[in-house]
Amino acid sequence: MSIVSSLNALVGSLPGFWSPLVSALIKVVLVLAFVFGNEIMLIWLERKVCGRFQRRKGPMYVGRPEGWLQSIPDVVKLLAKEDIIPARADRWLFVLAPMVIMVPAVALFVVIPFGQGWVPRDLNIGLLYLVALGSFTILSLFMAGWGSGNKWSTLGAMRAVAMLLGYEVPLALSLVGVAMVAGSLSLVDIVHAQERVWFVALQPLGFLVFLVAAAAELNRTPFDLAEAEQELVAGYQVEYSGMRWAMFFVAEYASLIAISAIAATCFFGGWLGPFASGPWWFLAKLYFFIFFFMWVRWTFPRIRIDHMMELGWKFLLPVALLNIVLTGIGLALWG
Amino acid sequence: MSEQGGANAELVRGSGVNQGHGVPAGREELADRLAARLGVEVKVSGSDLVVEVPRERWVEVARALRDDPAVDARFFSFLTAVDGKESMTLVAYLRSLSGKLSLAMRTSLPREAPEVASLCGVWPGANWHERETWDMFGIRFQGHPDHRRILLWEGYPGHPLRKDFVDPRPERERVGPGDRPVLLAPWSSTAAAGGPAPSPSSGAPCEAAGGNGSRPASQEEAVPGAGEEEPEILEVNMGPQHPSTHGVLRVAVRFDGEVVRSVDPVIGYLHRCFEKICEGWNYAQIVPFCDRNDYLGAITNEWAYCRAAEALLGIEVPERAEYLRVITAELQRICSHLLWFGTFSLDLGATTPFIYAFREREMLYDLFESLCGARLLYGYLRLGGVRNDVPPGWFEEVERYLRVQEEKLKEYYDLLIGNAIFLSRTRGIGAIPAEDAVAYGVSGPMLRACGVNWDLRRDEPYSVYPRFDFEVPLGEAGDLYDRCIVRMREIEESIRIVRQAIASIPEGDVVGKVPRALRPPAGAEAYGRVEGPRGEVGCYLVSDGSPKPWRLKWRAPCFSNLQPLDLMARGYKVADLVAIVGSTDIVLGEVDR
Repeated sequence: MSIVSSLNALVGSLPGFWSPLVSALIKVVLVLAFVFGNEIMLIWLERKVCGRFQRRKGPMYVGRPEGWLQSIPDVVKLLAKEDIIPARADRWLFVLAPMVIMVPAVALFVVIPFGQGWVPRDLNIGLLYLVALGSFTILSLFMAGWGSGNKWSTLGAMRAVAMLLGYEVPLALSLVGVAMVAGSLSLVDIVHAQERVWFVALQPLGFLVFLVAAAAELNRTPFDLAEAEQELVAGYQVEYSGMRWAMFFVAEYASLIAISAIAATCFFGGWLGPFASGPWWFLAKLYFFIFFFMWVRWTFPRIRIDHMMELGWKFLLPVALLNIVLTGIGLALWG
Repeated sequence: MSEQGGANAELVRGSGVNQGHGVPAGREELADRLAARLGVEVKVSGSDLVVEVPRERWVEVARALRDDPAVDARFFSFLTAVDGKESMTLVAYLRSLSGKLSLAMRTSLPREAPEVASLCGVWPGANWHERETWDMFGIRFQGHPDHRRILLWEGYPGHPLRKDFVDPRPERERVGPGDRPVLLAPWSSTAAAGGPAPSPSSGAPCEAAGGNGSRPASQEEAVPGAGEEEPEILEVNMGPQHPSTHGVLRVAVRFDGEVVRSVDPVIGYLHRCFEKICEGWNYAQIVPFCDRNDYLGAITNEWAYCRAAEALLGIEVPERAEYLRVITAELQRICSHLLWFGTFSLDLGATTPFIYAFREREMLYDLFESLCGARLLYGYLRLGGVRNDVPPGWFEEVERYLRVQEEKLKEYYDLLIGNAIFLSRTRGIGAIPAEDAVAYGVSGPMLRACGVNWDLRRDEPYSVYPRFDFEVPLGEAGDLYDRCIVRMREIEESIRIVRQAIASIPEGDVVGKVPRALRPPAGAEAYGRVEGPRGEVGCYLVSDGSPKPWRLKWRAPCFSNLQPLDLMARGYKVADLVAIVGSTDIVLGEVDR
């Protein structure tokens, strides 16, 4: 707290228009540092978790003990790779897609409250902003799939768009209940509304729908249909290599952090804890969800695309709607 | 389910390929009856019948054999040819699963421009076999729906298994980029006029013969140009470089969105002239080479060859060696099914069960390594026995492994097979009707998943199998789930067989008396077959009296199992196609030979 307030005071003392500009810059740097710092850890963590699930050790050598520096040589390797643009690719789409995908992945963090007062920008439409940006990812996937000029990647892009319709609607609707109970779309207000009880207790159905839809949003097994290595080779990523491929990879992990952050914020009380509330609680919950998604990924087989659509439209959507109705009734009775 | 075989012990020792268990009663009468009814010559050879058919009556007799309730030869095993010195002999091996009867149907063709009517109308499974025979021998099949080469490429000069074949390339040109085959999409090989691809078969013998034009009626809509008229159809090559084709297989697929409209497997990428090379080697040299066909079932490969060669050469196998063959073959079966389980889970997108299956497989490999020094391609069998006796304490190690394996099988069910996503991905998918499976010559777990109760180990008992008590697991629907369950239960049954064999293995030599010069009588032939992990592994040997086989034909189960892929996959989704290819458990080394 004291760091934040003293920083605020320092920035506030700057003259004229410099104050908001510097403040924004500091926030951008902090958010990026948080995302990429965590990401380096996450890539290593995923490999360790996966290794443990598979009775392996994962990376061991770079950065003893337990190879925690492995991601750095990985990045160096990717940077050193040849930059290939296929002859039949739509050049602009192909080059732009990996950049476009980074935008929503990082911009999601603008409204995430890391702790009391630790929020880059407390938008009063925060929840809406999250949902809107989340569906933006699909633009990039489609650009990549279509722009590659490869039949497999086109199939992957088609799947990505079809899936978006399947899970994005239930995802948005599952968060409506949260907004209804909190009476606000601002994530800070939502966390404050959970001071008595976390929303996971009030919104169990909503949380269930959110969890499944979020796993789909993340494009991870069992919902990694758009890249589905065994079926579509690598789906929309098939023609990407080197750093361009790494951008997709980075964005995937940024979304993983973001989705876990949303779950922690909207359903598990954000930075609030039974004692000593603060950012550490937020981080702990964040990593709990990250681990959960990794666990799911390394356990399940992949669902089929039409089953995925059925799940989205015939199960998740009705349940999400039911949840809204029940929430409305509950609010009318006890609210 | 097999009868307890103590009483069979005497018969077993005979160990000739088809004589092993005596001629079942009634073969002679059946032969006489058939000869009278069909007006053809029918001989009894071992327990098999050999039907000599005049060329004009080839299809007629085939249909009669299939439809005659006394014969009921509905299983099409394989078809091949032997280039004799004066004439070509065409051989088709058929089987009646109900009557437990194998028949060879033979006809004689002239060596110049041989031609015969196609059997595709009788058994759809004849399709690929006839294409291969055309490819290798230049025998034309009238009325064949898809008369293309299969293992070699269109435009290959000559037919390499003919005895008058001379490699047309000068010595110095044999390696080098200039010899690259022209690879064509199957839809462009028919009428690719004006296409950018080099003219596919100009000057190719098959085009000159005019047999390259028509496609199967069911694929008629798949002619080239359809892509432009129906823009929603996506033509994609799955493979030869694709993560899920289990080797170098190319599947030419036509997608309508996510739905598979038609499938055409293109094989031959791993063709390495196995049969041709074997003609230049002596009988003992060939044994380890057989490993390389189905490299996941090396023991059963060697065994199929040894059974054929031992029958030709009249070599006796000591009882202890037979037991060791059974033990290693069953361990091999477990090993192969484990690998299948792992890769199948990968095909379904689950990466972790793969590692679990490989954990146990690793133990098996260590066992094999301590037995014979090799981990994948064992070269363990010898003509007349096996290479060496087991090292001390090996059986105890095997028992230790079996206990672990039994325990871990439950883990596979918990982790993958009981999973709701797994069930939704496998139940009711890729089923093949039992009649079609039989007519295509599908064998092994794929056949048994359809509910066809057929296992060579029990129904054409060989070696010491009759002495063991084991069940033949069956499925019902023939879908992916049944194939998985059948294989998992076969692991359990193999464990039972290995236990019984270890408990009752006799002392004694592991190699029988083998003559120094291996020269079978001229004109002798034998078809040795065993139940491999993927089905009926067979080796058809013809001798000319020299120390080298005149002709060796490899009956690869995967070749027949892969053939009805279109039948299995049409109408399903992309993801199902991958799972269906995986469920056939193909080994391309064996398909392409």
